[in-house]
Amino acid sequence: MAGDCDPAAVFALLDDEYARSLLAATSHEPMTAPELSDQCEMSLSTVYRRLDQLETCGLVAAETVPDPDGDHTKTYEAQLDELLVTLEDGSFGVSLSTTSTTAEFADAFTDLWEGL
Amino acid sequence: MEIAGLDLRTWARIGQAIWWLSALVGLSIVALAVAGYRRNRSTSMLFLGGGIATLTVVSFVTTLLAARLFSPALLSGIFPLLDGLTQLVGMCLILYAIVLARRE
Repeated sequence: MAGDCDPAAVFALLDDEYARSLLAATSHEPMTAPELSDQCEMSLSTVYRRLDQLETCGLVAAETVPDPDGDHTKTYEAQLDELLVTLEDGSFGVSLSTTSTTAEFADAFTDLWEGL
Repeated sequence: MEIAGLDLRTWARIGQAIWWLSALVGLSIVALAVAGYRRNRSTSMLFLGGGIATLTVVSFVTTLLAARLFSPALLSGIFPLLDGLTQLVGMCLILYAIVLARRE
């Protein structure tokens, strides 16, 4: 679900070119902020600011991965599969559907079969 | 006549339940294969799904239909042919899915 975020904030994020490229880049695999800064050609501070907004709305999820040398790296992954916008009694609503369990099993099955 | 404390009719019912269950499990594997095809655009998964569907669901339906349509005498002659043919088609589909998977 779109967290504690109001629909307008979600629309604003999706209208933002930087936020969209961050979403697209993290939809394949989890990535760190410096990697994203490299790949999407934007400054690290822009990456952090957008990721922060995307995370508040539940559009990306952050995970902390422990490094062998004691540091902790945060990786980000897009949580968006489909976004449903509703208009009911004059108020907008957004609901986010993430990858379902069935879809995950289907992907695992495809990977298994194609890896044979 | 009883086997392991259950009469033959009960055993036949258990057999039928297992038969239904295997068709259902087959159907869910087919659904996953089709979802895999749609999500990953993998034609190989479509043929794999088709093959599993033929071996489980189609075979289930033909058995059900044959039992209704044909008299027992006719059935004993025609059923091995129907069943064998369904299995052959199903396995050919899976074989083709393997060939496709190598190519993709």
